[in-house]
Amino acid sequence: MFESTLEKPKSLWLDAFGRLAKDKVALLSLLIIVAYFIAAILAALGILGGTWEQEVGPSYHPPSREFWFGTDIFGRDVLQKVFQGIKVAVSVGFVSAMISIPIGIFLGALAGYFGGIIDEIIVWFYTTVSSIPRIMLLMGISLIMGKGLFAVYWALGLTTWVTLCRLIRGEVIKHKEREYVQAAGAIGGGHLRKLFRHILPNVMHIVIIQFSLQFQLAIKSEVILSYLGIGVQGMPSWGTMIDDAKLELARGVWWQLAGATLFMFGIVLAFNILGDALRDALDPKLKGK
Amino acid sequence: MSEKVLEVRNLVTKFNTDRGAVTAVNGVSFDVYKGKTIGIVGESGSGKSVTALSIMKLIPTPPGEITDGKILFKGQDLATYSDSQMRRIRGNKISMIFQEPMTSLNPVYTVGNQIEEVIKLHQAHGLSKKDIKDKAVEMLRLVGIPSPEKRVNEYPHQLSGGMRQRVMIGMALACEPDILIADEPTTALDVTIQAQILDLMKKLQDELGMGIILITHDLGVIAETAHEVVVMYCGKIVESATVKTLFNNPQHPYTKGLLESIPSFDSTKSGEKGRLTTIEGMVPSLFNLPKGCNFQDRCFNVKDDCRGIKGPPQLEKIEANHAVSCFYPVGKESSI
Repeated sequence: MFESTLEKPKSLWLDAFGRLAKDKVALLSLLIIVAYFIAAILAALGILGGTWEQEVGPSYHPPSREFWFGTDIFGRDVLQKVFQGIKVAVSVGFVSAMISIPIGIFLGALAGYFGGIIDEIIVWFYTTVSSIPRIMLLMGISLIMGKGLFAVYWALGLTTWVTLCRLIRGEVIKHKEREYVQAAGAIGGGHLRKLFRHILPNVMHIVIIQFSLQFQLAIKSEVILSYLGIGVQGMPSWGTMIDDAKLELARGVWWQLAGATLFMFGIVLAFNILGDALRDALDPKLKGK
Repeated sequence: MSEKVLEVRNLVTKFNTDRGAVTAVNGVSFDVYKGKTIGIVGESGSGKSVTALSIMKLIPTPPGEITDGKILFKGQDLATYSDSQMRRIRGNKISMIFQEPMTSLNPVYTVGNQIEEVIKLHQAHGLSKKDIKDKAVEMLRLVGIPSPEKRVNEYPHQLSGGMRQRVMIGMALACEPDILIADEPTTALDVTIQAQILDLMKKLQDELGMGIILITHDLGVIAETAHEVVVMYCGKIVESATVKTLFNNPQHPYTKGLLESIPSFDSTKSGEKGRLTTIEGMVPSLFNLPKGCNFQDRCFNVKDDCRGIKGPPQLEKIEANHAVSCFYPVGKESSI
């Protein structure tokens, strides 16, 4: 009779994953993203795309069975360069998210929980940051830090925390008045325990959703920066490949552009779909929809 | 008389708002004895919950502030304690359970986790992880949750309201506190569950011997569980007595009104045409309290003196265990 209530309890995350797995498109997106991640790791280890610097065929060889995406001006395999691009894109997405998410969580949580002057300073800070056009800020930071991959990480990490910070602040304000937080105080918990042990796990779904949206934003931004020539230096990225392609297109060489955009399209689309599905799976208000 | 564990003396709690300061609790005094229950009754906004939160020092400051009075816990004045000193008291020596069991538990942790947290916070020294877990299971068993070994791994959303309130009680009693403050513990539960929870609290009081401060607006609950009663109105105590005295011989017109407005099955007892007696009027705004007695505009027995000439009435003893703050207690008149 009580069987249904005595089944093994599922944690929130398992429960959410179960709901996510029911959405076939989202599951496919997740698989695509995992495939990209594996490709990126293999590329970093030199197993995939390790020979991109070598001249393997004639200049501007169109796509063929041997060279799926043709070759570039120096006779290098475009597919190999695309794989190197995956490595750059995934690392940029990952590292910049790892920089921006802690900043966003920390500032948002402090502002939301303590309120008052702390809140005002943090809100002032993020509105100021967000009032500067993003691309200008990105260019500014990468130029100050010196061009290159490292600068791109920091430029993106330091500019993309604002949305998360704002969302976390709002959720923390909502949660701090909840009774369970008051109850945590009544058992002798201090401010830090209430904030980091009790409130934050309740708003973590926002972080997960935001991570997936920020990831693809970072990838797009890296492409823009590299296209403008202030991004990745000395190695192929989708941005530099698209930059090369603008001169090649006039000569009918379309495959370098096609290779870079196709792979970028794949990961950005997959992350967008996954982000939507994650929101559906994790947002309690949309449960059972 | 058993040992006195808490002595609240002339407690004053104020809130500073944009519209000016509001005195939510104004000179409240009462005692809590070991193994006894003191009930605090009053309508919404009478200062019951603020009194409880003041004792725990959980009033959000600002805007709230305890401006006067003593909270003597075993002779120590909690009003002078720092926040870190208070943290060692809360959940350990004085615990609290809340009105809404549905939202008082953190949804992302299992109930076992949450009981363990209290133990870890206060009495973890010398206990292994397994000991703590066993203690959590033990607490669940104590509060009457069936198959506690399984329930300990469940999340709050898998439990019913009554079960969650039991878990809350288990959390509150995990460190065997001297005082349990129950802020309307049964308001959100349905009537059969209410009785179960009240019985449970009584049973645990007999076993563990803690003093209970029971806050409620339900006189039925008071009659059933409390030993002593304090009636609050607009942040002040208007009458305090033992349960029997209060129900048999109410002195303050407000207490009398409250008792008369309890629906009765006996139709001859109620007024004309079987209508329920009510207390006319509304609670005055705390921003704009009348001069003199706070209850003057609703009192059936109001005299000219009540309107401020003599100032507000003071709480005065009329018998050993019976105090009332009224210039013209109703009992006296009827006895003449």
